[in-house]
Amino acid sequence: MLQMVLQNSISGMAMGLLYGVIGIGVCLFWQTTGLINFAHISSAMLGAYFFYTFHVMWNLPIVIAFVLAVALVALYGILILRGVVYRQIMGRKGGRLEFIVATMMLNIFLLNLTIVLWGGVPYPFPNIFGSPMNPLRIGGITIQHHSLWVLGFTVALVIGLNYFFKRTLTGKALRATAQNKDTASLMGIGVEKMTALSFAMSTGVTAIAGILLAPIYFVSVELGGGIIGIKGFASAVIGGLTNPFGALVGGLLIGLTENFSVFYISSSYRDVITFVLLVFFLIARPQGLFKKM
Amino acid sequence: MQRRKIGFLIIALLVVLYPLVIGDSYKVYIMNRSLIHAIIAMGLVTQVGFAGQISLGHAAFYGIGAYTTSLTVLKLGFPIGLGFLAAILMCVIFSVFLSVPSFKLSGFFLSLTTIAFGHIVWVIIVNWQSLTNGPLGVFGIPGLKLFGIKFNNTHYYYLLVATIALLYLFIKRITNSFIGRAFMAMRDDELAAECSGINTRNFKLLAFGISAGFAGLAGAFYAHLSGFISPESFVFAESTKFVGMAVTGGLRHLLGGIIGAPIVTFLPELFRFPGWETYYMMAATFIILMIVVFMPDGLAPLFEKGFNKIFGERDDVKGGSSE
Amino acid sequence: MPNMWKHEEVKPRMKGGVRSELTLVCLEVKNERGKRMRRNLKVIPLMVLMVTLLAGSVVGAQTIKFGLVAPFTGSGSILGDYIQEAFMLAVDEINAEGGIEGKKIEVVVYDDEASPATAINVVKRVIENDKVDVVFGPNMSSSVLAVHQVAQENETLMMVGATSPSLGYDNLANPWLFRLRADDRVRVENQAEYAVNVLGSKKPGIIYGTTDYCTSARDVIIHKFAEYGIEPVAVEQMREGDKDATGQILNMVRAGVDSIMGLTHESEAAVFVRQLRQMGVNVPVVGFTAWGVPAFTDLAPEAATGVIAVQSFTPEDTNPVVQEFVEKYQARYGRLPSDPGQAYYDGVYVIKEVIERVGFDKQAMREELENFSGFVGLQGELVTDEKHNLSRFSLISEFQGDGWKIIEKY
Repeated sequence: MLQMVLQNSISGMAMGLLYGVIGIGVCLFWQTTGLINFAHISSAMLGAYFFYTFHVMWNLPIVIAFVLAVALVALYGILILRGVVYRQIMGRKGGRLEFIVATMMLNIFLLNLTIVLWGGVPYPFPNIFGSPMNPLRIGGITIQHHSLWVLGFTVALVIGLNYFFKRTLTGKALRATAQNKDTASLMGIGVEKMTALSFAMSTGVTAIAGILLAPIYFVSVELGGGIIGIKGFASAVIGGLTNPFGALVGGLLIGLTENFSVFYISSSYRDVITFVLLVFFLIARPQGLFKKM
Repeated sequence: MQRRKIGFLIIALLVVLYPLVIGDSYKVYIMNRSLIHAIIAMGLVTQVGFAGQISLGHAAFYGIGAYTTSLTVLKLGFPIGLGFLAAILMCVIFSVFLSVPSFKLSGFFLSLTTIAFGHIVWVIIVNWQSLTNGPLGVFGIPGLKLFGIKFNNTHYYYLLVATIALLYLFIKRITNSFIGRAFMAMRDDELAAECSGINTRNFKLLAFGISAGFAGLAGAFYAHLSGFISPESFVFAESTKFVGMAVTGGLRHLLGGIIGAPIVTFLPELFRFPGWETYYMMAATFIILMIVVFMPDGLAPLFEKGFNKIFGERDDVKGGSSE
Repeated sequence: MPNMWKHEEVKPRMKGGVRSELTLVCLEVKNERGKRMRRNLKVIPLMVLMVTLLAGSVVGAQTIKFGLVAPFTGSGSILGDYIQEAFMLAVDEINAEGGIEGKKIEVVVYDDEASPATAINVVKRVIENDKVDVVFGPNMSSSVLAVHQVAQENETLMMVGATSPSLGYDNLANPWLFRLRADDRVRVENQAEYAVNVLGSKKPGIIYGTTDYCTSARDVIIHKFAEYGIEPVAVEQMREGDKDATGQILNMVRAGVDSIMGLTHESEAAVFVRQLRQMGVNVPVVGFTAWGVPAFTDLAPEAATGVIAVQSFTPEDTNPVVQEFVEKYQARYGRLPSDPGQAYYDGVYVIKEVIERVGFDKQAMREELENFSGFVGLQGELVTDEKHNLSRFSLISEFQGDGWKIIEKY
């Protein structure tokens, strides 16, 4: 029994980490814009599809395919998301609501574009993160190599982001811009450049997340249209929306809740339990688990 | 003044003549679907556009309405009229649950709770099989009848047009009263509204109640029009579509829902060319995206301007007395 | 369509005229000020007019019109391509030989998004607007439930590949609705029989999805097991889009299952089987039709090895008729055909046969279909039964890593 509980926790955490990585991208975006991008998860989908195209269809080496895919998605973030959608709406003094709706429509459009370009059939992802058939076995508990990769990446990402925001000049400038654009520009910070950077970071990190998700989710439109996007938002919100580490903890919480609802209560009503918890959490502690970083 | 009257007359004539001229039950059917969507979008305009309470879970109310009327009619033997009432009432009751989080939350957080609500309702519809028949759906829902005549698409069309006219007057009356002003005060600055003695809780309840009731009514219409309902019709994507309709039409305009819904419903149908089985959706969503991004006020103000330009005075800018 | 990447062209291939019209409108929308507005207003109705004109294409007199309604976007988008490819193969073959009784087949294809609400729109459109002679599809059971009355009211033949038992003539009593694939009841009962009689399962576990396709199969299999006096020890759900089934698998292990009945869609099947094997659970797995197609095995080839599935079609079928079809299909599309394509290929030829027997009169065609027999297709001899099913064909096969080995044919 103990072994089962442990196994269930490990798998729950593996899923939770993935929700958390998506949540980190949400945080990065919120930090500088104070907005939520409902087309957020489509960056993950695009990342996975681009990587698949470059690596599997065009046979480019992994590293080059990876860099190209992430760079392309970041470029989309700067040119389309910021250059068109964000600019238009902010230029008109449109509010949050306009942005939510516009990005929602952008998400639906990108989904349909993906179906046109790549078709609706999911593609299997190459085993670049270790074969799924020979996982690590420790005392009867199975851990996938892939989960370790995800863990390594997220830890590195959180530490890296922390360093970037607290120690580097650009990071500090970004935080200043997030707090007050006018003051920041008086201090000689290029506000335009900073927003562009934050859009690129948010979409780029999410594209990496998409590539990390692909072995589990396959290269499929489910990445961009499924429930994972909502769970990414949820983990960011539980973590307090400004703290990448918080988003990670939020994701882990959701992953564990899900797996233990299945284990102890019911697989049919799992999502009810998760979402009810989320709503209670939002009402009881809307500021999230963690303070601003 | 005379010219304006002619303008209204022309529009009224177009609306009345549509099914007679088209005479094609497929196009009338799609129009009926858009009118049903228009009811929901009108509710969303009231709740989101005027009262500032976002909802991304309206497919749930649409579903609750559809299931309530079909189950009460089929299982309890209610007359259809009573089924409609039950549908509206049930949605209003559920809206109370949903508005509780809105007392504390707003904006993005509220949208997340409404999404959660939509998913919860969907999972329950799918899994409570003894009540809802689960994914198999409910079939054999009787259509409307009046004086022994079974409704066809054209009958439904006129009934829906009449319903929408009534709902429009209802919303117009409300927005022009103290309620509407309280809604807008609450939308623009909740704290200030509270300071001026507006009980925002009551008005939030009211806003959620109205739009949930509208969605319930729409769900009831859909159930009886199509004769078959299943959980696939009430998923999250539908909720986003409804909000998309309200925004395409104009979120802050009384005519927003009425103009937005037919456009969003008809667009994919227009692009169904031979060989476009996968492209049509992309084309349709692209146009909607363009409207939402480049015309955040929606098409209704444009419609109003055009109307004023052709049929008279410019000074009457105050929202849409055009139906 | 991956092969498009081989060309430089990345943009979606839209048709010229419409595309320029679209860009024009978008450009117009951008210029929001002053006089431009008026042109704006003029361009939009103009475009709508053009689009409608294009949509209502002219119908040739000496043709017979088939409508195909299949899912190309949405949750069932995996199937749309297979259905359309096999369908068009049959149509083009017939047209190349001069059509049916001298009439060429004209085809209208629409996407139903695998959603009942959209299916009503498009089926009404093919029947009432395009006035087709025969409708093929929809392929999703709930969509068929939503639209079959439209076919009945308009007295148009509707040939579907959907498999839920609830669509039978005994249940819907729709004389215009016929089914081209075997009823799931038949196949799922074969599946249970196989588990009990061949595998000797006493404590089966069930994993199922949330659509009607999965839940009706679940009900059938539980019922069939009950006939053997067996009650499944674990009945677990996996929602479409779920990527982790650890909880469900652990529940099965805890209940001590000795076989697992897979009743989910393709992607979930891949996720489930992979995790099952990772966790070292080595009980036999028997899946229903979604577990017997490449959309599943391509995603998890190693883990799927050893999975037994009830199929309605497999390219490994040694039947020469099937082999000929597979060859033609591969030559044209560069990949293997998959279920449910074969049903629609058969369907086109069945209609051809019916017309050659009784002519183009709809009522006569319907009556002939009701007592149809004496035609051999990809699924063996097609004979209409009292439920309006033309086929009862099914196979039980085992996946071997690169293809299927047929164990039994029904």
